[in-house]
Amino acid sequence: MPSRIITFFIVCGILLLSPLILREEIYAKEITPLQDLQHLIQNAKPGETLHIPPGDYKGPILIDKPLQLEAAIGNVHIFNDSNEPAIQLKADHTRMNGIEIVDSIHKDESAAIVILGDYNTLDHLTVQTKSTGIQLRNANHNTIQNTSIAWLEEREDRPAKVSEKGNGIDLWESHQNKILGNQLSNLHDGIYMEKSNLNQIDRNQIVHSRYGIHCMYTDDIIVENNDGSYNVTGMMIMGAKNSRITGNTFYKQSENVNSQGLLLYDVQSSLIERNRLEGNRVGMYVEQSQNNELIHNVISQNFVGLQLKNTQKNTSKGNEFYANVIQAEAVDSQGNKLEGNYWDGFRGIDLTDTGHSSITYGINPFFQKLTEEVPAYQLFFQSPGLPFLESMFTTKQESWTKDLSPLMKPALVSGESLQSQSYITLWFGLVLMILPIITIYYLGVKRV
Amino acid sequence: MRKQGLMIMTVAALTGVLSGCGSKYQPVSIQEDVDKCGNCNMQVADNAFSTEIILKDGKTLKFDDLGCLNKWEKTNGVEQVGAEFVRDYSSKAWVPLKDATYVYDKSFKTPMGFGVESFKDKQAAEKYLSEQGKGKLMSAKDLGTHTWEKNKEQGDMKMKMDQGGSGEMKMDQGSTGGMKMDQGSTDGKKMDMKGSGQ
Repeated sequence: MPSRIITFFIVCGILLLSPLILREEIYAKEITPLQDLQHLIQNAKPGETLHIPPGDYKGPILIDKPLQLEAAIGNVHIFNDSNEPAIQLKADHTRMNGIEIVDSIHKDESAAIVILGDYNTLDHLTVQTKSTGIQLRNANHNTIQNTSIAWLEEREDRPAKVSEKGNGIDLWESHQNKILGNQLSNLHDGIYMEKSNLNQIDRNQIVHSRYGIHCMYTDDIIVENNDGSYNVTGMMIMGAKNSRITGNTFYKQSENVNSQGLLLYDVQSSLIERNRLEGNRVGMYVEQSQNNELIHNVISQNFVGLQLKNTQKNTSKGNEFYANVIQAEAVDSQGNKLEGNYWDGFRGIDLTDTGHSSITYGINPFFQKLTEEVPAYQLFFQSPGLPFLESMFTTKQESWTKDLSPLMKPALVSGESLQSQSYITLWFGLVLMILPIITIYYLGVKRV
Repeated sequence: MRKQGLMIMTVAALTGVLSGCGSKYQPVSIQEDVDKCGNCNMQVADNAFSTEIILKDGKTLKFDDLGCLNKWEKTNGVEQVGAEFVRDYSSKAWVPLKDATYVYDKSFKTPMGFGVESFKDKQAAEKYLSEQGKGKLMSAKDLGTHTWEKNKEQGDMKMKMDQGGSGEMKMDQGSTGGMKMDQGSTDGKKMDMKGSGQ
């Protein structure tokens, strides 16, 4: 008996003390001095492949010759608490792979990684930053891929204001770079480009930031298959021409009063094709933009689907509008070519059997004009009186933006996906119905 | 007698309050969550570049860049404008537009790239210019004749032509995007994109 009691106490003792012992271990790990990576880099020859041994290293690091830095993903950390960038890349043809960076000091005009050279590749990095993630300055032909960048939140109880944060990837006068398949979260702008041309932005995912992708004075860019949600605005393009914005999905940009899925301002001669704008406050907002093609976009479940302001000579064709509270608004936007778009809820008549309605679809500018003067009138959004007022103000219809030949049915592509969705619902419903029947049949009748 | 005195005081106080409110337009602080630029729709950050116009009907228009304010006035005219405010570059205090001193250089970074920054004191502006080693000093009057060019021109695109000592540009290296540069274009900055990028 006593031996049992003693064993019991020993076990209890170990259980009670174990957290202390574990904590001791963690503490011991924290005080191991950070290793010196700069030394390894200095000793490497230009062009050499450097396999960084697993461990924690201290920043700042300067790379001034071409190197291949390889790290096993998740095993190499660089901690930087200096005012210099964690990694400053002044070389060309350098490759970095698998490094994790924690940059814990805010820098106004700098970043966790600063790239000043050309033809570099950053692959599978993880960056936590108190300022900007990766900065490119006069840096061309670089590739940043499969990298995740997030804001380093210090205190959960006092989250940083959006203007205090830095951008994820920030380009300035940097051309022909590729930004592919990165994950960006909780930042100022996910990808910010200024005066940077011919860049390719592909398959990135941006969440919980101010603007997902923000372009200022960028020409000839390709933005394809990116995905943005819960940002103030999914993508904002200002001052761009000859660009291609295709296959992107921007959904649930609705938390902020000024949210949009995609905003185009002063955009010329660009192609906006096959984007999906869903559940945003405004799906697509276009202002002072000319000669663009807006085709085959799917705009659904937004408060306002498409908003045009002071915008001319654009072509909008084959777009599909579903379940937006207001499908489209247009002010001072004459001379746009709207044809063959699908507007759900629109009752057209196809007299010529071409699949297009013979009745045009006019866009009433009433609500947009009303709220432009006094934004507080947005409170009356879809209040019963407004549609009534709107129906009264139908003068000057000739100046309205109109779809001349609305589609009677949506184009095949999105129609299919909706169809398959309804099949899923049907099957799910059937299963839900049959399961209880079986259950009741086998279990429910067993009464004593 | 005392009653009369009280009356006079009340009237005086009321007059003071009313005149204080009526004759002067007060700057309104920036709310980053809701304020967007009256010209370009961008979020207005609570920083030294934000500017605002108080209209005569009391409505406030906020701008993220002094250039946007200027553009709004060019488009909409100044008849309805009651007051204009800019911010001191260092203290972020609101300053009436007509009292501030301005500096401009096309390399100064402002939200919309107009490159004009505002200062409360002329000395501070001069000091800033000497620190930067570039830029020109402007008064509020000079803003009217300023060209308001956006810092968009990429005259000095540094492509590092002589890289690797070979003197030729390896445009196709590591590039699957099918981008091709048209070196023979007239202004040396315009590029010609070919291919689909896929």
